[in-house]
Amino acid sequence: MIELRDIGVRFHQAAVLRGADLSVAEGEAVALIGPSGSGKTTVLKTAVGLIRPQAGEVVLAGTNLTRASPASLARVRRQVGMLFQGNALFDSMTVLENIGFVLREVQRLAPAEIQSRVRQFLDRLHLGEIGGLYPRELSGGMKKRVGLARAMIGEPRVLFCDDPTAGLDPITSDAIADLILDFRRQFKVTLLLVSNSLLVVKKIADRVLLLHQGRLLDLGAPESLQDSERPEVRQFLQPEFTS
Amino acid sequence: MTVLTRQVQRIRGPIEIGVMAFLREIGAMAMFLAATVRHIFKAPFEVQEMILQMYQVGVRSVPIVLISGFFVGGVVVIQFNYALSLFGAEVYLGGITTSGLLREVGPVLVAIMIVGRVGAYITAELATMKVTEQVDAIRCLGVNPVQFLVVPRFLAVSAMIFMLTILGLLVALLGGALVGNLILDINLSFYFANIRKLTAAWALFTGMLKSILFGILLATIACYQGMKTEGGAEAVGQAVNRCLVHCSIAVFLADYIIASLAALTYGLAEEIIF
Repeated sequence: MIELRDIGVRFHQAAVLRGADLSVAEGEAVALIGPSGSGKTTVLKTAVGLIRPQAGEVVLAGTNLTRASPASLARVRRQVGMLFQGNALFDSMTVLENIGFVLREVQRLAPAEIQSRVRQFLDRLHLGEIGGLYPRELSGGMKKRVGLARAMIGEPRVLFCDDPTAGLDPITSDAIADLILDFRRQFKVTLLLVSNSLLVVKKIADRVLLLHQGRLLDLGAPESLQDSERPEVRQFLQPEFTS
Repeated sequence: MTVLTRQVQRIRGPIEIGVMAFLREIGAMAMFLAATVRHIFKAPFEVQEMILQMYQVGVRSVPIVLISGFFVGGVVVIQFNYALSLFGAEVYLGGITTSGLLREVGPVLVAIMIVGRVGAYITAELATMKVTEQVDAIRCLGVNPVQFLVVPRFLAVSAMIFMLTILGLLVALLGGALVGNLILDINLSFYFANIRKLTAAWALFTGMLKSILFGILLATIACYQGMKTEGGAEAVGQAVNRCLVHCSIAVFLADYIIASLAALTYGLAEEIIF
């Protein structure tokens, strides 16, 4: 479903990704871990076609994004949902308009149907009557839920989550992880997740990759992380174990 | 190698880099304009977003255009009256004031006011959306950001500058007439008598042409600066700053070019068109 082949990405003169390979099968949930600034978000944005790599190929849902026309890129993205680290909610729109954006702009549904589907999502996310509020009036956890609802309401085949629990307290983090898991099970969505929270990774992912020096190292199942003998894994996990 | 040659070589590098950067920027902006125009004719057309932008750009700019238009008309009349009185030619005051306002002061003044109010607003809004990943979110949801964000703003600014210029001109003419009458004690019928004689239709045409061109320039620069912003809050401020500087230069440069061309073709155009 998602394939990155020998990807090279440079920003100015700094190489962020150097021959990174990644393959995520349909229905699989893969977590990407790595130190801050190592390029995890770059991997995610490259996989969704927001960053064009200088080398290598990206294939998403059967379409080669590196050679795709803008029209086919837009078509592929309609099968994709993305939860951004900073949520990226539209400031000038209410919660209802934010979540219903894809229904209005892409699926062109009638306003009444959009309202009803968004309300169903809000109820499911235990967000109650916040449809009329603007993003600036929401708490961090609420924004995250709204971002997740916006990503999922179009029932995508692939979900990308960029550090979905960043900056949240442990209880809210756990609730967000449960929601992602719930969506994954219900919609059979393929998931690529960036997170440095091992609790979240263990809860959601089938497989873990470590981004180390611009390359992706397959670490297998999350449960085997602690037993890994690889020095780069030990180095990354050390603070977690000591705490 | 002489000292002079060394000095020339030393400064040639930065000049070449500067010229190349300038040409690259112009090229990128031209491509951005071409992409925007291409998307105007693609479905779906964001009518609701365009109406919202027309309100933001047009309706909310009306007070500032009315106030400044009135006083600019008054100032122009006072200045022209002083100059004309030196030659005993006050009889031409209405005609000369109207001609000057139509050709130059009106379109340039409205454009500069819109740069400060609307250009900065559009650049800041788009730049903030860019740095907070809202533009990426639009892309990820399968919507083209040029079509959704740029086209409605581009059309709204282009159309509203044209309409605001007409409004600004009418108010400036009224302001000029009222100041002339109330402060300089010029008879209104005397003031309006020479307008038709000294104000050619070509002047009106030139003024309107300028306002259309200024609208397209401002809309392109404001949207381009917003959409190319990368970084954080500091980058937003820099984008707004660049928008204001580039728009002001573009307006004066375009004004000069049109004025020169209009001066060259004035007689011919009067014969052919009117």
